[in-house]
Amino acid sequence: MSTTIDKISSPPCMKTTDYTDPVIHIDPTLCTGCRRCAEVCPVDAIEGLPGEPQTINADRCVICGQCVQICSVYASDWAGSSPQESAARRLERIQERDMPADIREPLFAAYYSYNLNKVSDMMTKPGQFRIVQCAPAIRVSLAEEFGMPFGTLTPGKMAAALRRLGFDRVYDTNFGADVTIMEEGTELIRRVTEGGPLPMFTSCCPAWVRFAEIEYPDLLDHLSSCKSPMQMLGALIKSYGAQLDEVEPANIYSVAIMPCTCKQFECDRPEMESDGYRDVDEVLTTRELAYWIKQSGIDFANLPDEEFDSPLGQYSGAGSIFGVTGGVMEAAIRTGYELLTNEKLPKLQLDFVRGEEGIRVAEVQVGKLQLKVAVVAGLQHAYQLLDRVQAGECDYHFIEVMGCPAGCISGGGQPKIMLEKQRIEAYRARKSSIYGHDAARQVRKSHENPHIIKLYDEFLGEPLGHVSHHLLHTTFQQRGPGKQSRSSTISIKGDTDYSIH
Amino acid sequence: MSGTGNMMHRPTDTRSASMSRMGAAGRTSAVASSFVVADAGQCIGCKACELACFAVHSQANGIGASVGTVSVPVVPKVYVVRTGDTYVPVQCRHCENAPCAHACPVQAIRQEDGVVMIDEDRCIGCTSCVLACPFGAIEVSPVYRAGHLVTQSGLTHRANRVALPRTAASKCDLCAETENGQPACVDACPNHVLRLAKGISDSPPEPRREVFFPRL
Repeated sequence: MSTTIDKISSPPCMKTTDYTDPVIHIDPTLCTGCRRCAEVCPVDAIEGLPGEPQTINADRCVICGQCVQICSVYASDWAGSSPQESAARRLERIQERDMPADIREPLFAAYYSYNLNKVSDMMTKPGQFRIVQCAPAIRVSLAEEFGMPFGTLTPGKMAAALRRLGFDRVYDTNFGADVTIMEEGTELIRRVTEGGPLPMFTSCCPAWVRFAEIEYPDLLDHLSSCKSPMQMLGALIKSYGAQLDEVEPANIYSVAIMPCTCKQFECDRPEMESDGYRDVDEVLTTRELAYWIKQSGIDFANLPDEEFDSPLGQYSGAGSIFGVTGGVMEAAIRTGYELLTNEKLPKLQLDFVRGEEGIRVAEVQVGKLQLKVAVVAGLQHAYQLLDRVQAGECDYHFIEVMGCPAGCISGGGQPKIMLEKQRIEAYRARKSSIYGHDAARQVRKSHENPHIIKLYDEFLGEPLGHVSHHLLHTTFQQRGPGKQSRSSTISIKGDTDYSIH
Repeated sequence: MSGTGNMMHRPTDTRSASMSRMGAAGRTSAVASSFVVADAGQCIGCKACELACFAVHSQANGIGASVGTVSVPVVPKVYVVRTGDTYVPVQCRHCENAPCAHACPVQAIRQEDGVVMIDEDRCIGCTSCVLACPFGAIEVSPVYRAGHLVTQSGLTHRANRVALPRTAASKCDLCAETENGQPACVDACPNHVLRLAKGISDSPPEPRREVFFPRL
């Protein structure tokens, strides 16, 4: 494994950030200019002529990583030179990309910046309390990297693997998702009852947030001020978690395993810190975690199932469905309905927000309120909706936007599928696995998670309270001049009244 | 390539000994072969066909659906070739009178049900077939089994005495061993550039010709 000592001269908790790393790259020596990446790019950030190497317009790019997922142009190990020369060229590319030196998979033209060398070097530093959190979408996809069938659910093995990799605490972003529901749900209720900017948009997806900042900066006050679940949990790990474990926040090294290529950008944002500490120090993708497990010689398939640590690793079913499109909406309605009406939600499975269409809309009767909601999957579908919001013609209350086509399960950092025809199969299996995980949990609503109740009792006080505001909420910034012209095709499911009874 | 379809439908009664020496135009075969053909003008050079080909032929190396399961070099049986501004995938034409089979000194190449197949276990990696193939569709490359390089007993690197890899010829087998028999490259091509040109088998196979390559 290559050493990157020079890159870790500053302590992780006080890292300063610039935006010089565009995260997504295309290797010009490999790219054949097929432009399949440009077809899946929702923001037309990939530029170049057909047949010529493409470049990425970093100012446009929302770092969703869909181009990395689709790229099938790989470096041939045989073409045009001797095996020795090919091996040397391969090693050169691996070093250029800062990938683990012993990686054996093919190298593709489109790739993202890797952080594994940085993280594994930091893990060996003494005196650190190492904490990791895992996004909901990792447990349904990680096993694919070890040859298991699509959607194999392995939260227990994942927790076991992370312990063996040296983490002192294995927490779960799903807990952060439960906190997000408490905060975002309360914010929505407040906006609806007190007349805040509506529709309110979710702010969990960093690619969506970046998209809004670049393309629709005038609508930023429509975004929920909530940080994403990853950042919320990061902030809680270095405050509440640090108190519980009696460690100094400065000594905590906090890593997040994410299905997303944009999460590193999110964690590097200057506003994502509390009391001078970065909320999250470093992000690894699902694929990077798999590299790490393989590199460490851990026999993933035969690991025992282990539990996540308490309390920041205990989650409800609502927290786990954040990994699929419509999940945030469903989780929010489960909690929002009960908080607004003080009645039990009669049916927990809300099929009207589930589905595969680019946009799903529904009206839900919540007490006296006819709540109008929309779910957007894939940023290319967002343009038309946002144009209507801009024109003041959009009377929805709450809109969930996820940058990737099937939500986080289809994120840019997820296992890369070799056969395009298997992609849909993979996404469906991952999705059904996530819903199955939710259905099997005893607690399926965020506000009923006993550890969430305790967190508010002991530490946060109330949703949108002073501590929450300080730790869990953020601001957004204009990053571009506004919308570029782009025609979007749109298919809408729903638009019918939905009674929850 | 449009003419090949007609050729394959030629009635069997035109077959004669004199015709068979007239070259490709007059030649007919016992078993007309199917093969995958590409439309050069439409290929965008994405190599999805190469990757799909490799994926379906690498089950023995423990390769699953995800790129992360790949632990051996990608050696496909179809090669996207660029000439000027044009890309085209090139693969075996399953020639009816296959020059590679004629050239093989150990009879590792044979025609089975119209598909020209290489028996990699029998192949000695001599590259005679590579030289004989008019399409450049055959590659000789190291052999991997169960994710590990197979070495050739008796051959060592001159400097460090490490055993050398065993090499074997590999080329398109029309996905003969896959479940539905549809070539993976045809399925995978996002531009529908590749198609399976189907030969029609309408006469009993000829006896195998004697190889003209001197035996080793």
